[in-house]
Amino acid sequence: MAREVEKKAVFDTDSAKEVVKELRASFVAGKTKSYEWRVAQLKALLKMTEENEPQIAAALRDDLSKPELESYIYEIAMLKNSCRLALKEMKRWIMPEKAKTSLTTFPSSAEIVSEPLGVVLVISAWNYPFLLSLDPVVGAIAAGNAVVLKPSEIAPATASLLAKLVANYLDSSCIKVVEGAVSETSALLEKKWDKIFYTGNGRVARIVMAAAAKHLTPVVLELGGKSPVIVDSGINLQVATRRIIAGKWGCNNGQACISPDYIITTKDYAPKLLDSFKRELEQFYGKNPLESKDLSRIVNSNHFARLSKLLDEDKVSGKIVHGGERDKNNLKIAPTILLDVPLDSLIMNEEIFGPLLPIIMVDKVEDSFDVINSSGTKPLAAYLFTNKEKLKEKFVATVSAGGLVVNDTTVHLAEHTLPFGGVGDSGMGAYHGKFSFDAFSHKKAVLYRGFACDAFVRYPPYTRRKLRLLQALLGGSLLSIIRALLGWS
Amino acid sequence: MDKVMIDLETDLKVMRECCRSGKTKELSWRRSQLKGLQTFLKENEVEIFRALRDDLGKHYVEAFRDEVGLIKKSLNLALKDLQKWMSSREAKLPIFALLSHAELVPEPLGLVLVISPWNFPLALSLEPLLGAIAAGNAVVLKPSELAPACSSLLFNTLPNYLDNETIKVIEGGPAVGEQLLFKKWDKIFFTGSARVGRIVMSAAAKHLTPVTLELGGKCPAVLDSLSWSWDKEVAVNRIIGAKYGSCAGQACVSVDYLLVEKAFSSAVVELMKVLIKKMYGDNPRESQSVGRIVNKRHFLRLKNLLTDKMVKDSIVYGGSMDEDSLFIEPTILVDPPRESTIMTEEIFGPLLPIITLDKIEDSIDFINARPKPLAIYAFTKNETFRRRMVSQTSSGAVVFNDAIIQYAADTIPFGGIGESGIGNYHGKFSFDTFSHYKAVARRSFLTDFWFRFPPWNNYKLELFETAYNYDYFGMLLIILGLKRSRRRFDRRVVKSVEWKRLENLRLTKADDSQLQIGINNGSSSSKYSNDYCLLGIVWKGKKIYREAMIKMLGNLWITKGELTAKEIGENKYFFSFSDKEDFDRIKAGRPCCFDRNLVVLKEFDMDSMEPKEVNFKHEELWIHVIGLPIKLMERETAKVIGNTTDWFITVDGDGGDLKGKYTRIRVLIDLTKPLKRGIMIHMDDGHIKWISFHYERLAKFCFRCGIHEQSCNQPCLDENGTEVQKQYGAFLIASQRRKAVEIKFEGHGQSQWKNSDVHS
Repeated sequence: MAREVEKKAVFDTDSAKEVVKELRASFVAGKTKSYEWRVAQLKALLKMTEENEPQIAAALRDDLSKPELESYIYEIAMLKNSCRLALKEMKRWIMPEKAKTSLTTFPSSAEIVSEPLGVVLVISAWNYPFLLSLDPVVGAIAAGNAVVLKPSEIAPATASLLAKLVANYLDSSCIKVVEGAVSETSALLEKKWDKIFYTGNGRVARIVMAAAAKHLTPVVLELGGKSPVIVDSGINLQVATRRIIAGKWGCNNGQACISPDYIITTKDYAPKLLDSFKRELEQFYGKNPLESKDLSRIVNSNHFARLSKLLDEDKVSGKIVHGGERDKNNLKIAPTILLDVPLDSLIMNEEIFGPLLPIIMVDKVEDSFDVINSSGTKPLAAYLFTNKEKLKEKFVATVSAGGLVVNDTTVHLAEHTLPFGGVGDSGMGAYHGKFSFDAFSHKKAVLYRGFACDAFVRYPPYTRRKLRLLQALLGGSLLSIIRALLGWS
Repeated sequence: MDKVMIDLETDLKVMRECCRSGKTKELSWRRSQLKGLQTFLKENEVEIFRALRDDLGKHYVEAFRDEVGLIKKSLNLALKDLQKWMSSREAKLPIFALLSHAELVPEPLGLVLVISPWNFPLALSLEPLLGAIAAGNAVVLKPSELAPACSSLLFNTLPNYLDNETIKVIEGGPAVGEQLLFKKWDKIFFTGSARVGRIVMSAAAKHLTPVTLELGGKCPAVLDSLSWSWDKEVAVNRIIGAKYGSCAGQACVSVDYLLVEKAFSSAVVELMKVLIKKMYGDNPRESQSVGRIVNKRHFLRLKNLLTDKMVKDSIVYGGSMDEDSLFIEPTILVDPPRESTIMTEEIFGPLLPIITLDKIEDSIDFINARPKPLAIYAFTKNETFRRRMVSQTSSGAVVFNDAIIQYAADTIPFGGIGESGIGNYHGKFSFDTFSHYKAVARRSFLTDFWFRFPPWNNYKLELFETAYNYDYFGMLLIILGLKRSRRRFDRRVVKSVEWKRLENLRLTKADDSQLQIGINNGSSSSKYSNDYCLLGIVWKGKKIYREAMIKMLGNLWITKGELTAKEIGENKYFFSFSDKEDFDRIKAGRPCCFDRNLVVLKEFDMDSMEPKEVNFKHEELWIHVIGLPIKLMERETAKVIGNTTDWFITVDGDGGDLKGKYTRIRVLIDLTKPLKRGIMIHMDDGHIKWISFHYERLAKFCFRCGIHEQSCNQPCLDENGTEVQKQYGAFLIASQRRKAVEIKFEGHGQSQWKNSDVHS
């Protein structure tokens, strides 16, 4: 804490100003625009990750008791992947895109040039503190921006490791890490950025966007939401259960933005589903899940208290049908399933972000779409397990969410050909793969014209004949142009 | 007003309900609404022209060119391509996601608000409106109250052609606008000034509503010193058209100021005067071809721009104003002070400041010193200058040799950056602006990689790594148990004191890497073993690619326990074995060759030795002693012969075993000395016999001087300084090894393959 206090005294608006000034100078000098710089930085980032895998895993263990394998799969390997992909594809991404031109502007050629936005700010979250910090940075670098990264103070070990590593491996005149909490973030937000990329919750997102509005800064907001899982009957129950467990408890013990938040299933099927959960959970995490090394802990006591409150609410506490064990000292909560919780309870009205999984029961599986849509908010992801084609089509057509997955959970995150991002309350803008590059690029329209063929109709004095010609020109029909020129129409 | 707002509240509720019912998502609904817009334009052309004349004094040709015609064009395109736009886009997936299927499905955002400005009251209302309809949204349109005739036309007539449940036009001033901004929208599309843009975005932040802001900015035109008079004339024509011809300069895309070289400026001004006269006649006020200023407030604002004496003095053409008819003559100013308001604010009127520069290349700095404009127009034939203009400036668009025309092109996005806006539209981009691309992944229940699920172990980790790298073959090998885990995570590795010591050993930071060979089958040693360590060096070889080397050795050595390899310097490696058996076997298996380079391995005691102290000059080898009489094939002879090399170690076999084609002895040789080809022995009967040596697993050596080296580049010299001819050759390489030994050596590994229990 002492270190924190000291920092606060040091990093204020002026320091933020200095940081931005330095980075802007580097950007204006054109340093970040060169292809070589981008490649060198991405390679350095890759090397940094490769060489420090044990340290990264150790930091994540300190912050979240994250199992090493989870750290590796969901953070380290994913980041390495996006670095590699960017290195491989960047040449293609930065190529101007040729655009067709129409008769209206004939003769001309046009292209869409991707240009870096400038100096961008990335504010990341604590649940995947490594990946969510550096994955946007990969996109920002690939697009040629100077970057300030503000990792979450709630994952302090990772934050300070990031600060150290980034300073050692990357070009510090263009890429900087600023550690800190609310006051540092506010100081940063006061400055003018060319893009703000925020991952976190809706409350802070509103503050970020309002701050961005002052400078007309575009924002990407990656938020969360209550991502539902609909389970239909007549499916391969074991596979479905395993996939839900992998997405819920296997992703940082439910503390992930795309984790399944609640399950909707039919009244008849719920008992079967519950049995299957009990069986598989024991197989994965043993008889005493609080001891399991394969489960993350709750990040801090605030969140622990929040989750406890959700469980202790009167109308909810009786609904626990599996788990419910808590270990306050080690901040551990066992995988907990609640059956038939009322829709007006706390747990059903805020994002759970923890190892609690309520099951909602409906009469017909088709009713579940109404349950999702009537909440009025759009989740980041929605999942459906079914074998019925009709139901799948209806699901895709009626449920609005950042991403939909049929018969699995969370896998869309790993696909770089799919944009990852929310809609409505779950955020705006998307990234991953080329979408990351696009998120940090400005698509500049460039139109080339010669001096030949200057249509006199464009200029005053205006006459009726010019009107007719224009009508023909904008109509795009060659025949009518000729007719208008000949004065036949 | 309150009643209006209460109505609005209920209206919005109905609209949301309609959205939810999926009505607006239907292709037929979208089509019918777009067709309705088409009919609206067709049937009301005269009224539209009249309204535009009343509001802005726009000539009907200009009105058609900039508004009606463009919208018609956009509608045609949208109707033609709508189905294509609406269809979902397949996303490529790797084989890894076997039996999966992914696509991007565009879906409407929901309920959107379009706020349009007064300068192109029709085009800038209907262009976003048609995009929102094409994307399947319910829309509220608020046209500007500053163009009242158009606003009321839209309010009164447009609803006759559209579905009133889902598309609404709301008339009103800033108060109504503010009320609207309080509501929750799924998108706000705003065209107007940066000041209001900020207000809109702040309001949107409350509901996390995405915004598209189409703002303006000072769009510069850069006119290079064109030499041909035709080019010059065309360029100036286009600049004049873009300045005075588009609603009297009251357009976000019109030219704001002009940059020319000093030497060229007077010619430009003269040409402009001529061409302005040609277009607008001697008395532009009388001509119907120039628009008027929208209202008194703006008229006064423009008038104020010219009040500064320095600015006033810079007027070289025009400058006359008529407050009653809100008319301002096309005006040219040369070099007004750069800090004057006319050069810091968006002009939005028929005043054209010309700034003269020493060199036209200076224009890039001039532009970069100001906020990012919506467009840059550069008239030049200089290819390098063009490239610089594209890469070194930033703006919504760059147009070469023309102006404003980018607005009509629907294949490129139209929108600003920085102060000139957020987001873009036109053509398909309009559709995208009002759509959310939903990622949809579908899977079957059939394939499931068991390694996705806890409990976690290193085997699963390895599988994930190959899967992420799309290394399908590697994955297959691992699953079949044919490839061993190369890595593992063990916190003990990080924490152990030995590790710290090792860190200090690093010679070059850049090449530092750690790879571990061998699987952790649960019974591995509990601590990072320092008992069994080897240091290896690639003897006088070229630099060897680290990964290849470690991989190769890993495959060769197939260890039972763990093997850690670590590069500690150029061609220098540190190996540590957790299992003594492995260690002994590898030690006994020396020499180790890699790509015919000798890898000298030395035992290393971490507690007492420094890597530098290790002497790599010697290595143990097996020698075949050939030509020995049978009776001499015994231990003692072998020892004597062995000692003629550097150091005799042992002889292979015992007693009768020794009698064979050759005697196999293990010796230590000095690598810096030439290889011994053999020795002469004096037999008991007095004659001399040549006994030749063949070396097992001989690495590359110089055929001239016989020294272990990649190749001697210089001519090899002997002790007397004379050049040595080829004295050695491949004959020194032992042709085959004894079979028994081979089984003993490789057999160990073979059994490992079978025993390896990778399916943990």
